[in-house]
Amino acid sequence: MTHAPTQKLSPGLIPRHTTFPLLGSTAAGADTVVAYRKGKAIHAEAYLRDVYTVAQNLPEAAYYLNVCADRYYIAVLLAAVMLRKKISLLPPNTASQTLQSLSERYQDVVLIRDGTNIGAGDQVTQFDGAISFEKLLEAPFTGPTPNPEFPSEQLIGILFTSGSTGEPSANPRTWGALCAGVKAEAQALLLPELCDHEIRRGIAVLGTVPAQHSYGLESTLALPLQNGYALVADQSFYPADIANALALLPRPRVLVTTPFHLRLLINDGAINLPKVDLIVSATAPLSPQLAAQAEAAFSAPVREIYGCTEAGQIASRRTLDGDMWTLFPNVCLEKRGEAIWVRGGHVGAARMLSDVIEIKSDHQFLLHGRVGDLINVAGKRTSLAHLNFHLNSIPGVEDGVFMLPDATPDNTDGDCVVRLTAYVVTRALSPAQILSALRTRIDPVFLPRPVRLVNELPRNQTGKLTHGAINALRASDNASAADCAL
Amino acid sequence: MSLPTASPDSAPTALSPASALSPVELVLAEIIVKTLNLEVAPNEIDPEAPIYGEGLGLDSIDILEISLAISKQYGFQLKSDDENNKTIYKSLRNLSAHIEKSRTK
Repeated sequence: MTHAPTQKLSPGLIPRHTTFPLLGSTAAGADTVVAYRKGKAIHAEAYLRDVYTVAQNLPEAAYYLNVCADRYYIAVLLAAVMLRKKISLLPPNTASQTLQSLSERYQDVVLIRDGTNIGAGDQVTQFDGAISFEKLLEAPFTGPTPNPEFPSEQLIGILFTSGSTGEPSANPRTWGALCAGVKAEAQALLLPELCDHEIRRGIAVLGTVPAQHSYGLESTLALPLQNGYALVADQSFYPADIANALALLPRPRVLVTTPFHLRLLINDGAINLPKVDLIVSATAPLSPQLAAQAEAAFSAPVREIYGCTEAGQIASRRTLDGDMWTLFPNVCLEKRGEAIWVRGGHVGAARMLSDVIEIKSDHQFLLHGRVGDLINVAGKRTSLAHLNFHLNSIPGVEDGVFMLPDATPDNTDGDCVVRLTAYVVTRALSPAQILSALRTRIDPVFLPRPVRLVNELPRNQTGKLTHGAINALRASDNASAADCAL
Repeated sequence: MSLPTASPDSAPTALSPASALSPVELVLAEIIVKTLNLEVAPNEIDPEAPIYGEGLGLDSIDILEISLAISKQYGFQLKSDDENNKTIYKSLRNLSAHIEKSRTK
């Protein structure tokens, strides 16, 4: 990619003790469109009123578990919790065990959900004391509603990734890091060039990823609010929903999505794809072939974002320009032993990356896959150790191990979703019972398909499954490679 | 309409109980099994069991994969604002009935 950051912009530098407004400085006008929801524009004034209303009506608690599905409601709730100087928890999924585990770890927590029905999407499981978001809007706040300023070091919330044990790892994200990151993102994606300054119209940003994940929080929620653009509240589940919702938005409009969704949109062939002004993809590498098809089908450039939950987004590229990634302004990489660390700019203190990275220059690098046993399914990251921990915690499982299918040309890019295989030693359980037990413990995308029952796992004397033993097990099971050719 | 080719071990057999899948439901079951690489024979799927979560055990990614296969096979797109959305995935039977009502080919 050729657009090196310009010198006059240094959004990555966060002065100490600074603040960022809830709505970015360019979005100060009361008539700025903050969101589109069910076909209607919501202006800044109405958004701020809702934020103050929810802040007033929130029940007392230390933590708020935000499992809303409506992106506008999520944005209102996050801001309301910040106004109350409390902390939002953004769960990685709505599996009952995840919510249970978070509520045990963070005492004094309230779960807030909304009544949004997401196509055939994941349902929030029963949770004692859950509060309906819509109830929190019922008694409107009547005082003044200025655009609040929040200190950089205040938390927008805590994001979670699967740890190496059963417990999700907490990743607190500061308001300053989020705001500076999405201001840098707008520059890296060349978004200001899309804005029509004559009519002062912002950009409509439609996302197909949840706002509770790092990429979704940044690119579908904070990016619009900090840069004077509009987010799209409604969930678009099916490819036809995405196409219809895009077509109804004013231009310029941006689609924030994943390689998986792009493949569904492009491969259908019968969906009328509207023109958009930019496509943003992340969560897994996009193949150049699919990027080319998407650019042609939507008449728009496709740019990818690279990042992780620990550090947030740090780089971008236009897929068709080649493999090289360009770091956001002021962000730099450094090699420490075998590991690559990122620091500076909106990232701040150094954080280790879990990808194999080849540094090519001060601001460019190549990406060569995941380190160790980390895996990525449908944009969700976990480790095999985490999955194995849960598998072996099921009563009746004597031994068990998760495995990735062999890499094939079809599954090395992120366009297809690769499913895992589990090998299990059990005398008590059927594959269906194992799946049922796993469903309460892990995110559904990691559920094994298939579950293979075996007499024993070929562990060596120290109890390890060697690479050779794993390959032998896999060779005896040639059905494990996911067929994702369509 | 061309039927998807079923693998030998998942081909329907004459032993299926009469109360099980109807012919159109069986075609849909074959499409689902083939699309998702499921470890179940199409004629063994309970037409009354839930498709999503418990039951057939599919997740939202599977549902999206199936929506693409349905579009290609039956010539229409599943949409979230369909009034039947809450019931469509209650069972393979409901999904099949929805397809028969909406198909263009």
